[in-house]
Amino acid sequence: MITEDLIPALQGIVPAWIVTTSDENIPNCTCVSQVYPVDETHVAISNQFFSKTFRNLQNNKHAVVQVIHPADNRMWVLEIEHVRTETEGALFDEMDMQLAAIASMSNMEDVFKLQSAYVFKVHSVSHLTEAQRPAQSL
Amino acid sequence: MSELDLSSQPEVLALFDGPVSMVVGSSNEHKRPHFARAQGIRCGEKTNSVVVFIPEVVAHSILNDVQENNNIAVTVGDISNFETRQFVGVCTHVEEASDSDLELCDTMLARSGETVSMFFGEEGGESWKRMVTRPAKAFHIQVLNVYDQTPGNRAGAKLL
Amino acid sequence: MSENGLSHEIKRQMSENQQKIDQLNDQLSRKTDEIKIIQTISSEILNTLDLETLFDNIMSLMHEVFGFEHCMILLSEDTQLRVASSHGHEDQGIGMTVPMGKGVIGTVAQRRKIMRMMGLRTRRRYVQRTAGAEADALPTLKDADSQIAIPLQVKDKLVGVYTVESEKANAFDALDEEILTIVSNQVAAAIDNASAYNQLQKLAEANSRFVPRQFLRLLGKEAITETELDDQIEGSMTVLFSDIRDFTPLSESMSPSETFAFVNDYLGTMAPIIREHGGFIDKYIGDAIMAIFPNSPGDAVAAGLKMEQHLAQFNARIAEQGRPPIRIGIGIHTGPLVAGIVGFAERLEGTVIGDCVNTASRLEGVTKDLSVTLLVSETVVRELAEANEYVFDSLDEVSVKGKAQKVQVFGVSERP
Repeated sequence: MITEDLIPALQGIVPAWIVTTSDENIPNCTCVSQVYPVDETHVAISNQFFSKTFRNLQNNKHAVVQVIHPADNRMWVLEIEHVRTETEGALFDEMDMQLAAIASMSNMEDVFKLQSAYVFKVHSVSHLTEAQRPAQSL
Repeated sequence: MSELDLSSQPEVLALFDGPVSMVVGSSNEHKRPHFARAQGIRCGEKTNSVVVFIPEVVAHSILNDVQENNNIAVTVGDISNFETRQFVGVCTHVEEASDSDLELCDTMLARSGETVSMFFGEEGGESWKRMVTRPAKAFHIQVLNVYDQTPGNRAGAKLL
Repeated sequence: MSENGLSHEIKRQMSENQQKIDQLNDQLSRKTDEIKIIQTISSEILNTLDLETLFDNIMSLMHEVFGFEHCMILLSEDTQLRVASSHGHEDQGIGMTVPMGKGVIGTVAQRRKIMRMMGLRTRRRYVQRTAGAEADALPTLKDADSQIAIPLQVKDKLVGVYTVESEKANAFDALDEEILTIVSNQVAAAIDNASAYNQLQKLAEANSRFVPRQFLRLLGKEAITETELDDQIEGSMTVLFSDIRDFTPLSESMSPSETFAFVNDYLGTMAPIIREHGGFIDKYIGDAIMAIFPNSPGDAVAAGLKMEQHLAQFNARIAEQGRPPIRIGIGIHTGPLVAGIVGFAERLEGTVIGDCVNTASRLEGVTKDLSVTLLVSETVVRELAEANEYVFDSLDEVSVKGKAQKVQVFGVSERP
């Protein structure tokens, strides 16, 4: 499901967008710095500040994320479902390490702390080809 | 409840003149959220309303959702500095975007495209500008709350 | 199943098989590549113990074989890493440091795990925007947008960090990570080897200041580590003794640190002359020098005369600092000596023992009474191959403690 050409969009080069829904069915749309590839059918996002996105996910596990290819701005929308939250292990460590590396450059490693890694099952991947005109051939 | 005045805090609307990325979140009656990228935004007729323009090619899910659940969220982020606002409210009606609105969309895309070029190179900017803007639907939204959505520990703070 | 359905099924099966074959081939070719990488690294990199050469080899190999253009090697120190080598950077950055746990490099060192980071510029902007803080200056490629950093480890020891950077946002993929993982162990081992060797060389060099290399050579040894108590050699050698005359009252006019500086200045002027003439300093005794010339007495005499000349220059120099000139005495004698390692197992010292040492020291002492700088014994004059280059002036006969016969002493000057 997560194919090779999608990988560059999952490197945190261009921030992604996530939409979640509250109990009252009010959507919440925010920016996430990176959607991490986990395996062929799973992605993860980092929870640093226990924001509304994560509060919403407690009640409604369904979300959509939009990711962008850094080279040509190709866009994909992934329908995802929160399946587990990790606070240790290889994935958590890797995400935590990336965060620490960047945050420590500005001495912000204490503020930008990974609380947990939210892991999602990917239900669908749609490439929004219709959203972009093809490049003009020379 | 007194009606919100978006112009009461200048920094809320100042963002509309910058190089912005605009995204819309909606949710159907089964609480399944959807996403679409908008290509333009402007203030509406009332002090508490905004109009968001979503190209028809990507608008279908949002159009369906607002029939079933008119709650809607629009997030506007400045590409150059990540300054971000989320407008949460209800969709009052949808119509065809006018020619002048479509022109606004083209202007906004050109502006954000320049900034994308600056940060991601010429190629990045060019492909950004190839995003389809027209035809588009105009979503009229009555704003209930405005949040500071700039990434960081203050994200989600209520402004209005 | 219809014929059509069957052929469809066969087609599907065939395509599935082909996919499997492709997969296997792919895996196989990767394995082959891995072996190739390891072979290249082993032969090209591991065969040097010189750190500079090793760094150069690693850098060019990484560039030429794997296309990693901008690389840095940082070596770990206690709480930081120091840039030891860089390749493809406008500003070399050698010597710059990174604290443990700071930035990509510091974090990789702290956590001992490889990291591949894309879109560095956006991420940094993102955090800076949120933090409202500027990033600290760290050694990096100007405008770097992607980076891989890998810890260089030998067993549990962190040797350093190897990092590759690029101005492109999405420059590295999982394969690059794999290549570096394969390579890093060998690179780490090679650096560790070369560092250890380098350390050893430095140690040997430091040791040679205490036990001169010539002394070891005299004993037929290459390194101090080869020496043992009782190692010794006998032979006829020349001893040169020199001392600053009336140094005690002189030093009383100086603070201890001034005295130290003064003595080191003086010794720094005199000591090289001894080496230049094939001798070595056996020991310093305060301001006194005891030197051995194993080859010929001629070397010692030439050195003694040179020291006399350099004393005049030294005096001119200290006169500028407002100090009165100093006078020195030099005594030279040739005779049988034993050079060897003395002491006990815990504290060894290389030294020379023999009557000859006492005589040279005695001669040096007499220079003051005879108001000359340099005195040599009759043995020196007799054994000097270059005797006709000098004028000798018989000055006195002196008795030496423990010796029945008096020693005839000569003043020396170069034949005009």
